[in-house]
Amino acid sequence: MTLWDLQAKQSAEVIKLADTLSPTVLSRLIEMGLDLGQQVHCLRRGPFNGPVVLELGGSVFALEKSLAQAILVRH
Amino acid sequence: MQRVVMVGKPNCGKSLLFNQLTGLRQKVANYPGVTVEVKSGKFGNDELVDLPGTYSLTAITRDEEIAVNEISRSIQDSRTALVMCVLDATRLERSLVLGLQVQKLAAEHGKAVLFALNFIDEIHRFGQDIEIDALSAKLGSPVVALSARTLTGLHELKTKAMDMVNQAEPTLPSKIISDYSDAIKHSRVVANEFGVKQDVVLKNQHKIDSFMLNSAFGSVIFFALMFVLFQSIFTLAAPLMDGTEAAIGAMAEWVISFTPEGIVSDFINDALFGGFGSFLVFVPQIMVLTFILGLLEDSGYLARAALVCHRPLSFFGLSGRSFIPYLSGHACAIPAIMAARTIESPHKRLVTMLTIPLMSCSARLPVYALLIAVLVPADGVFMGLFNLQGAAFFGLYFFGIVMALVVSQVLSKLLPKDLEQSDMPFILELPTYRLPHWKPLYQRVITSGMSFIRRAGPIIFMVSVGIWVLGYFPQDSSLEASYLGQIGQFIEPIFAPLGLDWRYGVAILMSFLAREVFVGALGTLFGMDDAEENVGGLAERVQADGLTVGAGLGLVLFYVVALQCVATVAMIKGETGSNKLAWGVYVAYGLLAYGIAALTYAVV
Repeated sequence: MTLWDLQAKQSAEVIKLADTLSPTVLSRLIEMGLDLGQQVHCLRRGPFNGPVVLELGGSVFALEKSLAQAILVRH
Repeated sequence: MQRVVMVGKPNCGKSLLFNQLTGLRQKVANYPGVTVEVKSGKFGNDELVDLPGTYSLTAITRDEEIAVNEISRSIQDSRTALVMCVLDATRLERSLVLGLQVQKLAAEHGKAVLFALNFIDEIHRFGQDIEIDALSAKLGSPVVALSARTLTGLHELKTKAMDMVNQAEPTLPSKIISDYSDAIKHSRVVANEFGVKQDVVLKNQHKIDSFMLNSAFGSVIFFALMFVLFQSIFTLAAPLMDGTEAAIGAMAEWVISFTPEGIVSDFINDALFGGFGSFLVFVPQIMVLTFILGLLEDSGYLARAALVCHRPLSFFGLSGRSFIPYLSGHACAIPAIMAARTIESPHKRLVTMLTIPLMSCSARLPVYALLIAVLVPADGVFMGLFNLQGAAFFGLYFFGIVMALVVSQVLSKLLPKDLEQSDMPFILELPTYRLPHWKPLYQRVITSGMSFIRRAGPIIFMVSVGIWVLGYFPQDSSLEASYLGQIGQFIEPIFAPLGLDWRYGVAILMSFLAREVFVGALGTLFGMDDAEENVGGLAERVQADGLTVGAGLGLVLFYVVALQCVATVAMIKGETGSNKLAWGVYVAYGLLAYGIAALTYAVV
């Protein structure tokens, strides 16, 4: 499943970042802590496919759909 | 003179710390990416340089690129004696990623590093603490815990920094990461050992967010806040404006009572008090706007607003990040265009920059306030609750925003698609909610009023005097027969389709220099036209003169759309590097404004 499929209040572990992501986006995700093995917790889903709000490593981030779909996670 | 450079991740409180250390008044807000320029100030005998925030030494947005280039250059600079790395104690892991990379870079160039652990007051508020000595040993460079807001530890930081600068040999970090990519792994290790329990820190934030970002309430809260914001610009400022107006009127009467009848008295009454004075009345309104925007910025709500707006804005080819430049565009387009640098996508950034001038900046306030006072009854009430004039204000702001969205939609279709190749997705960190920093906020409010007078004052003064001279001579003629009247009647046909006579025409033409000039110019013209010595409000005079509703509405809409600000054109040119684009926008908005005004006059 992808990060986008995660329901609110669910947690998951990042297992893969899609190869389609550009190097700049990849490095940004990794600096934010969205790296392999990272536990992420979905705080809320935006209405109308709006950005998903995540907590990871003590910070809260909002990510838009296209990006969340490029991150594979596992419960 | 030696230099201390400050680096840190976005929203780690660097700007406030910089202000506290140097006594300067840099803008501070609780939103990532407020500092988009390099700022420097005096720090003892040395110089302190504040760089824009970045998450790491690899950059993606335009302001991070500036930050990264500047960080590398500053660290290598021979004058740099110390690198002060600001860490957010509540976000230790995230801030160490950059911190450790910077530490390595500094060590490679033989510079000392000092870690400033900011927001320690928040850690204490949660009943927790961080062991500074052990953290310092772990990181291999000295750490000072402080709070830039409560001033805790500020003195210790100053002393430590001065000591390190004045050392003959720099204290190099005793430990550094072996490779830049190690920063992420190592940060996690350190944060796990020293960081506070995050669920404690984030608990309040989550509680507030469950209202602010709620699917149902989120947008209701957003619109309610925006309405209150614009409504209060009017209602809060009204008593202040009345006070200023009364004071200027009283002063005019007092001065006139000393001067003998004749040219000097006419000049003082019409050019000075009628023209320049009617502009000063609006200064309180600009200060109230700055105050409310400042409250919102400090609170941390703006990042939530950007999130709530992301979906709706992307429909118009914009990003959620376009929201902040748009909002600050209501104060002034110039810093707003700079703030657009934080937008990741170059395409969306360009569209945002080109549409910011449609936001009703504070320079339009005088024009709006005057024309609303003329057109809308002061005691009118809207929906039984809101002041009708306040609601009219909101309507004008809303019209500007709608125009901006429509133009964005058109522009994103027209602009070259190759920019989209490097499109960046929307990622935004949501900061902790915080109380405002009262002292910097107070300073910002005062500065906004002062700089408004300083920027627009001289030109308004000159235009007022110029109009007065042209309108006064040849002496003892009527205003219509004066030099100004002759020029005015020559240009009158241009403004006939808008239903406006030559006096408005002259004021509109003058306001293409700067839009604030309109009120002053009209004040001088109406002051001279009146036979009796009248120092009352300009609005009553315009009302008595009989401005029709259609022409008045067209005129105010003209001012919503027209880009009458040479400084904004220069800024767009600076940011895009294209003269053609900048002046093209100037002309295009001018024509669009004329079209809308003519249409309004024809329909109403």
